[in-house]
Amino acid sequence: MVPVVLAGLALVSLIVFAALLGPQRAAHIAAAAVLSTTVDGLVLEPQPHRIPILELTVDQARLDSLEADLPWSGGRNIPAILHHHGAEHKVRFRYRGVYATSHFLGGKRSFRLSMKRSNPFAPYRKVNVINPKAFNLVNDHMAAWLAGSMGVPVPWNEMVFVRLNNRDIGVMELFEQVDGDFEMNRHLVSHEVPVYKGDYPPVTGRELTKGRNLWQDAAHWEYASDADSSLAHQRLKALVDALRPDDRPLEARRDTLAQLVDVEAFLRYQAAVLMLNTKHIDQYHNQWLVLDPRTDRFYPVLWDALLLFAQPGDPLYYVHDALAYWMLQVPEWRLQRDRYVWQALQEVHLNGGFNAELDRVLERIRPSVLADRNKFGNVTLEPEDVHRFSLAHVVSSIAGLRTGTQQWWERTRKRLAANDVEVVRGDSLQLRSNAEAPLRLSWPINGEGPVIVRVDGREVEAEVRGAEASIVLHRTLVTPDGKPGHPYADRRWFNVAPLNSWVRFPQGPPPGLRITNAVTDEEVR
Amino acid sequence: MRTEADRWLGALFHGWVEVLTLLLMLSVVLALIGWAWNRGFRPADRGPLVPATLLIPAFGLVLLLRQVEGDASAWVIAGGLVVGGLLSRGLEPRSLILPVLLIAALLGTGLVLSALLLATVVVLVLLLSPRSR
Repeated sequence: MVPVVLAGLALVSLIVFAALLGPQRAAHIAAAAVLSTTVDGLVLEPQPHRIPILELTVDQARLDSLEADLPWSGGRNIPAILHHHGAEHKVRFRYRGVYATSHFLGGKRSFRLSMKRSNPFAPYRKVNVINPKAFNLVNDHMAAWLAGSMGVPVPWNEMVFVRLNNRDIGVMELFEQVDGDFEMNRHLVSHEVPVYKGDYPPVTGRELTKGRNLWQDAAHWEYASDADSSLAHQRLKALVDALRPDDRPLEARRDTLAQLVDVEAFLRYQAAVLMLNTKHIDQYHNQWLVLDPRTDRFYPVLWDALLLFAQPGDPLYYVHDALAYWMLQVPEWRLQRDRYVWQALQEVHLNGGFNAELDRVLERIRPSVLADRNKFGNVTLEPEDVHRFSLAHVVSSIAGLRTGTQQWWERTRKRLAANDVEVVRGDSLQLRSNAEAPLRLSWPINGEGPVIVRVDGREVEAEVRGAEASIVLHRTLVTPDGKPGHPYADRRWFNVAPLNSWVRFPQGPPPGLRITNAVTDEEVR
Repeated sequence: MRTEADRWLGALFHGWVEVLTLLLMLSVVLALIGWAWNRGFRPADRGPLVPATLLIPAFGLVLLLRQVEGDASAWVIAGGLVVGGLLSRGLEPRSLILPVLLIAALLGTGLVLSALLLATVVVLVLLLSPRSR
């Protein structure tokens, strides 16, 4: 009788909660609770850790006082001891993260360590240790690896197992805090360099600050270096000015931008943003600018990208900020970005580079994940629902990461590789296509001097290399709603208009004319 | 429009489901043990499938162990077993109290696999051993 009554009461309580919370939210919370209680307890004896163990001792009373005032205590540092191979290092400890609740709710709170120059993580002196946002724990870590493999500057990133005051806190992601030491840490220079942080304004009171559109005003960027800022500030103001919407021709804007930013670095960065399919880098936050002391041009650092935090509309040309808005409109830059994407697709997708690295990372963190009984994350879309989740969530999320990336990259690969073109030969050449890649027309030449062709009535000088001339038919970008775009608009993208071009050669279509996909270099069908 | 209560309900619900899950696991284990125990008796002599006299102290131990950490767990388990041993003199089925408290201790410390293994052993022993009241 007693079990029946208990079961009845339990059932009634679940129904009441489901009615109050809504069935979907209740189901997600209940699944996290049931699975974390049952599945995680099936691990009997984890193996030794294969990732670094971050062992910290902090005065408990001081820690309690910080925890009692989260997230507003995030700016207060307290002394701590970092234990490493029997040595004790004095460090400063503070909690961090005020906008994402998974940083400060639950039992695995993100923090930052500031260390002396001689420390276990040298040359890095400031590191963030954060609660991974995704159930798979490695999303951000893999995003940094992917971007780094594409030649994009990324902060040093490592998975660690954290112990605080002799308690297991669990698997966390440790990464370098970008600042003026960024180039010095990489042994590129021996001094600090100018660095700007593009993020929400610092929280000084007890209220969340409102995001500012970074590219509307140079003052919206926070200087994060001790290096002399005079030249950097001047160039940042010039860059912000170059992005203003006005009537200057695209060519003039392109030339100005090329003097202020490292174009190749930004194109690689934008290629990485497409590969990652993330909208977590935007007009308001998660941006860094480093002034390259060799060229006096800015280059970006990829930050907190969140792999597969999907861009709306699955676009090929997503506009994450004002700089991307203008850069993507420069046809030759766009083509170069697409070629970087194509190159990355060959390596990380077709050659299995991503899965191989993911396997390697998982092999390293597996014992630590099995030992981690303190996995906390957002189990619903409600920010306050930061609860304990289970190994089942981790496993399922890793599988989702694998299939999600493969699907996204295969879709992108097919779009870039599509090369169905209808060619009508007459006095002129008419090319029609619904595919999205630009086309390259190449043909053999005998004589010297400029080769001029007319594309849709406009004169275009062909690029001559040896005995071959070529032109690229770049595609026209349009906004999805057909209205004019705006550099400061949020989360917009460009679509590719269908191609319908006429190309007139001086003596008619030349024999030996080859038409190729300008991204993949494959001949069109 | 979400109310302030909504913001707290998720955390309450998560904790509540965790507790219910532990209760369910313990009840299932007790039901299996109770079934194995009762098989050795005539129908008229059989007790309840899940005896409240076992369920309540065992679940109490589970709840206590969820609230303590480190060395304190050892003291709670030791205390629980001593009290269980004393209680077993006046409760039925007395020979099940200690194994059930041990299973509860394992569940309370999150060692679900160990608890399941111990429960399996208890069930097998009960099935294979003759006994009398």
